[in-house]
Amino acid sequence: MLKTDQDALIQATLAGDPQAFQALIEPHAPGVYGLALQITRNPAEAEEVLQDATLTAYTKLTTFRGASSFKTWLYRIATNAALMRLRKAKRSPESLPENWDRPADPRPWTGDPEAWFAREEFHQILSEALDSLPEIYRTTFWLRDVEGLSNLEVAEIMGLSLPAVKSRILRARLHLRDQLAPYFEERLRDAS
Amino acid sequence: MHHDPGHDCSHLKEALADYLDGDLDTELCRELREHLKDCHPCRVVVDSTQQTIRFYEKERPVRLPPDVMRRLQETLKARIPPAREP
Ligand SMILES: [Zn+2]
Repeated sequence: MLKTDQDALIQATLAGDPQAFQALIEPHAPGVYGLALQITRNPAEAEEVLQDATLTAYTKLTTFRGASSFKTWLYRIATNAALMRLRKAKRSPESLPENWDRPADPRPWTGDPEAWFAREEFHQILSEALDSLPEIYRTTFWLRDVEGLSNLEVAEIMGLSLPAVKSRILRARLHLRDQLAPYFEERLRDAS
Repeated sequence: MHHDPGHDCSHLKEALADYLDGDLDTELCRELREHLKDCHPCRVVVDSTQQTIRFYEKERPVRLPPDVMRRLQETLKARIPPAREP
């Protein structure tokens, strides 16, 4: 959505047009739901978070100043709603070890990416690897690499410092790589 | 001169976050780029990590179920009145 369209929808919502708010929210609904799902790991909870966050955004829309993007602002609300729903004042302290050791003798992934995408279990493999991450890494990675937000935007949404975000994203990426490696290295053996 | 590859590898891990983000201009990233030319295991890990990132970029693992969207629209209709109270 263009920023000007978005601003117009915000103004129209504030002027009392409920359809403008629906048009404003709908493009972000899949992202908010996805974010909530990363935090809660529960589709029913994620739906509740989507509803909570949407209504909170409506109520608080007069306080949106445009210093951050509407998306970042909305995602921050959704993150808080998800954490509240889990009855957690703080995130789980569960973390990956800071020190990651490069595998001594990693094998290259030399298959054809198109063929990988076509594999039936591809989606499942990616989901399971993502599930194996502790929540804060999963959420950070998801915002950065699936949603495609910048490090700075992720820091704003998660309430973390920029170095903390960068460190978590790196650890998440390397952990996921390690999880996926057996599947995509094996293509070599399959192909030979 | 031959460097101890193990030492270089762990030293350059610090540049990996910037490297994967495409911030290649720092001194350490230049060193890492040079290192990757000669160190096969590091290159394999960097390549496969970049591939991992591309996988997740392309394959959005979460989709919004149509029912969830429909119920959200119903909630908005029910909870948000046609005109704001003053
Ligand atoms: Zn190396």
